[in-house]
Amino acid sequence: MTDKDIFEDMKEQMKPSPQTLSRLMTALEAEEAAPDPPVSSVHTSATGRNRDRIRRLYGLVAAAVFVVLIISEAFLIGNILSGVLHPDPGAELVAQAGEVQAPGDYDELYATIDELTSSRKGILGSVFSSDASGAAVEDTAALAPLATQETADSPSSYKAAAEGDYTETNVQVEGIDEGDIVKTDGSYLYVLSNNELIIFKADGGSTKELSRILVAAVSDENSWHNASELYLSGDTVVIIGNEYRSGFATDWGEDVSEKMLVPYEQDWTTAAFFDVSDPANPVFLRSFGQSGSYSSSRLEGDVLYLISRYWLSNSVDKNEPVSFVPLLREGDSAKVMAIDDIRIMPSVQEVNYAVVSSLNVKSVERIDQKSVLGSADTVYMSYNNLYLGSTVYSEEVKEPYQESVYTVEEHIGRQMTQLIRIGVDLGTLDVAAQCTIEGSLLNQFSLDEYEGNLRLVMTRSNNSYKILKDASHDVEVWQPLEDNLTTNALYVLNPALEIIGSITGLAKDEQIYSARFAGPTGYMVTYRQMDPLFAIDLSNPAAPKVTSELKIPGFSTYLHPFGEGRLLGLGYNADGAIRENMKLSMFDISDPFDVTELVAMGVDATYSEALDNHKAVLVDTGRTIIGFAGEASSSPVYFVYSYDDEAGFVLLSTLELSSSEEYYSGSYGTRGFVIGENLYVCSNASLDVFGLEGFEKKVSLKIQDNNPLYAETTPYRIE
Amino acid sequence: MNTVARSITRDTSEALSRYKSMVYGIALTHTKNRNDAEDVFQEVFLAYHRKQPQFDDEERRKAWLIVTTLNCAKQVYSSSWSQKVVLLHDADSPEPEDAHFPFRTDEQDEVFQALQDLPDHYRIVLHLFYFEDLSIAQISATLNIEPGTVKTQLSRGRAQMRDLLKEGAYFND
Repeated sequence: MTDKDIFEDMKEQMKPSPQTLSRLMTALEAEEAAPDPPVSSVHTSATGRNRDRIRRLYGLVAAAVFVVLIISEAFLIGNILSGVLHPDPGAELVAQAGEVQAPGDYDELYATIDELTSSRKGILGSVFSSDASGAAVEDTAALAPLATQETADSPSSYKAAAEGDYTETNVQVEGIDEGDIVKTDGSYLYVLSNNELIIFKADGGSTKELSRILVAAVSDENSWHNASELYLSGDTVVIIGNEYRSGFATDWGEDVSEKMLVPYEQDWTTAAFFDVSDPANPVFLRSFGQSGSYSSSRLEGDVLYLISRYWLSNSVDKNEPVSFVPLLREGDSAKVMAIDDIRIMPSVQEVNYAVVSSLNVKSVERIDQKSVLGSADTVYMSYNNLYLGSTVYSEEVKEPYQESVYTVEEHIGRQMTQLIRIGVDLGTLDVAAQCTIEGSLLNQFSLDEYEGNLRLVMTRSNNSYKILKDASHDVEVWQPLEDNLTTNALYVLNPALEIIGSITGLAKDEQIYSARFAGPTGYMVTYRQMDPLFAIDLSNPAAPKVTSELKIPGFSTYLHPFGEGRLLGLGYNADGAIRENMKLSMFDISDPFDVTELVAMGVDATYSEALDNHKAVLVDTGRTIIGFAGEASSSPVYFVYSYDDEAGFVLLSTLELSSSEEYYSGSYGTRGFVIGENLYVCSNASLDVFGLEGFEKKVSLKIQDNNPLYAETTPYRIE
Repeated sequence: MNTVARSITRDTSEALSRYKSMVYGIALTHTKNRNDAEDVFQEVFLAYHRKQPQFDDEERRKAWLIVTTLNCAKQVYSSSWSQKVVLLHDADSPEPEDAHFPFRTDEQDEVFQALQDLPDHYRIVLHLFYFEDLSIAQISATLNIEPGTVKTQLSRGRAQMRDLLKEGAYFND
């Protein structure tokens, strides 16, 4: 038992009950709106009467949003009771696969959305007007394929191919890049910090800053833009960001003749393309957008896949697809997604879309797009498919029964995962299959495709409780139910996402802390007291079996194949109830029937981003170097280790990072890259260059004066 | 100001959906029984809804909610309100510990009790570090104390908790 484990488990339990939430919602609904809403001071054109009206709408809007929460739960319960999700409640395995539905027209799509939002309808009419999206929405016709415009002058020469001696972002699947905050091509470092793209010439002690530009631009003061990740492909940098707009739209009140202003909002996920063929002078090329907040992205070859989650937070109107269909944007013009590009998950429970676009980074144009009424919390991409996973909670309320003086009501809470498979082929997107499985995914490493089948590991944990009520004494007692045992499972799904093989009931009362698949073998770390590392033989997808189970103290939260027959683990040491410092483990996996821990080494740090973000880890299996930032002393440091079988782990250096005098910047967001003979460590405050021989600091260049966390950001405006 | 619309349609509901568990958890560890925690939970979000505070970034909003929850818990705890629960009990009522949040295992109940028995300044640092996964830098910024102090409190709180648990102070049976 460590506190990491036990606290995680306790945290999961410390949640307000539906009753507590509904009590709060009732209280909030009863509340008067804020006495002096800031809206009246901004919207000066509103008449006094209008102002009252707007004020009244405050309450209404709040109520509308809150109702959704309750209704979605009720809807969920309805689904379960009707047996949609649980054909056999007693079965160990609850799963259901099937076709993804394609709505024939917007009316059919609307009907599904209407069912999900019926409670909201009528409280507010349409709050969307044609300019509600923040960009001019053209007609509702399909987005026509765009003419290839800039192919002629698009960058064609790719540099750095000859200087291949550098490390790149640590990704899950070789050849499929993942967005991050620092990228390099071996010649230059591209750093995204506080909405700025900063380009450095990587040249050891002579490293210097070449350019610094704002990359998150907005068109008016009601917009915000946050750049979160970047990609580098040839001479093109793509900045992924989120744009948020707010404003006012017209609404019909009870009296249809009276037009009122109500607030609306719109989130965009954006991809802005920059030509960096002259790194001293990056040139903005074009930007694309799609409805929703950013979920994830991948880059394979010249194709960028952009995934967002779009929640319909505004009211919908049957006659205005713009109010309930995701929008696509290019430059300043937006279009409603064509009905042919929209699918519906059969078990959809919330008015949530997963929106996927594919963009060609070479020709800077849109290739394809699809939206699925469902969601995308966990994203995994193989060479042929994009898998979107999302967790849904279901709560079944059983018929109350009497137990001595108490009326007992049992609530069976389950975590379910919805999975969508989208076939990808040079950017074309084909929504191919979906399923719902009981359990939850840890992260993208819980999923892996091998020989056409998807393997996944899940933790299945119920959160069931009973409420004992004694009305005569006004007493309510809550008790957890005994069947809340956590177990883990491995599933093998065929392309139709039907289960063809499984191992269930693994590591009872423990949960998955890390997973990694390598060819026909899967590795999974579950944890409670000791760290069992499971090796699972998946060579026969229909009959997976556990070949090895290793118990060691502590647990790994990240696993990384490290050369032939070795698996690197990064995690925590543990002693009794107390999680101790971090540790590095090297496992010998050469014999899948006898996995052993060759060596373990404590790391003098209490926390590192590397524990939960693989992109923060530098693993150079060629040079056998492992690097990551951590928090050990009062200032952030970067650890550099080497590993070989004879010497084990050797701490080569603990590098002090330059940090701002004014603010403690911490180690979060620190990345290390090896280029030639140097190690480049980029933190919030600075880019520090160290020689790999001796680790002397050659130069330190400023990234930001202040911790961006505290820096005031001024929206950048296009005039 | 340009954050107007955001505060109306989205703020309270978004704050609630994002931070309901965080606020509820802090309320639980910083009050003596579940009823008080429930009240703190209600109060914090009602205060948020009434004030509609504006923040430049999410970190500040989160910090506001953490500090407000702590202040609110302190008020509830120091008032006579927490005695009300005791008065309500009679012979037919459930055992007094039902006023406590029930965890899945005895072990977790013990850890929770040990946490509750820590001095306030250790408890909040441990809570934010373990339950909310805040970094030392974030805790430092949220509670407005030096990172070094956070570290000290973290290690002392941890040691004290370890002692409490090793003494077996909470093995009732």
